[in-house]
Amino acid sequence: MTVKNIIEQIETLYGRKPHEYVKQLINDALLDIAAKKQHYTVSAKTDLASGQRWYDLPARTIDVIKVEILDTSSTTPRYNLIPKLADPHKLLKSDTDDSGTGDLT
Amino acid sequence: MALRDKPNDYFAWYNDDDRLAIVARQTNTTESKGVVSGEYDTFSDSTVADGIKMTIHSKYETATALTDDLQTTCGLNEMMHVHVLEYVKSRILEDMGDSDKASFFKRKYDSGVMKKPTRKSGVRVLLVPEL
Repeated sequence: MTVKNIIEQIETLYGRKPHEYVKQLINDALLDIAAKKQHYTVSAKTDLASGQRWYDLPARTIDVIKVEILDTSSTTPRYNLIPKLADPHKLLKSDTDDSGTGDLT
Repeated sequence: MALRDKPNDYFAWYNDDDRLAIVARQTNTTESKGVVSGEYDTFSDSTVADGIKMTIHSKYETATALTDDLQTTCGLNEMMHVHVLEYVKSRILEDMGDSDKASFFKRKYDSGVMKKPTRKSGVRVLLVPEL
């Protein structure tokens, strides 16, 4: 179903409505469904940079399912799943790295 | 052993609201400032292009053009399209001041969205072993 299909159905029932208004309502519906169902899964890649701890999550992220790191040591590089730290503040102790420089003091 | 050989032995991640943190176990105590072997610290080695791949639950893509398809452009499963229509009807009727009809479509929308098992991953039924 396209945006145009929805607008046509709405206009048949309720008369002419501004397209931008209906489009906004469609996007509101998409946001509401995303919050309730969370079944739209996408992947994103970024460079693994030396000395950088923090990477921006994509703006449309609801939650992170899994993270993989590229294993370049084999002849055919492939992504390996890495574990999530359940309690990073405890494990990383006094590490307060917020700048990406990675100091343990 | 290179640091990215079997990266699941070395790397770990955590996140805050907007950012993802990647840390690596320190294996060389002389190169890191007071790091005991095995502790996590920021990764420091050569940069790897597309070295991180994250899989996320995402919001749907925004519909911007009249020709945008809710499935192919926005990523919404076709089974859910009818509920978008119910939501739009509910909001329009609300704005037109017809709260009874608006509530009717809102209820249809709410129950429809919650009933549809559209996620293909995960177990949806409880398997009870025969005793």
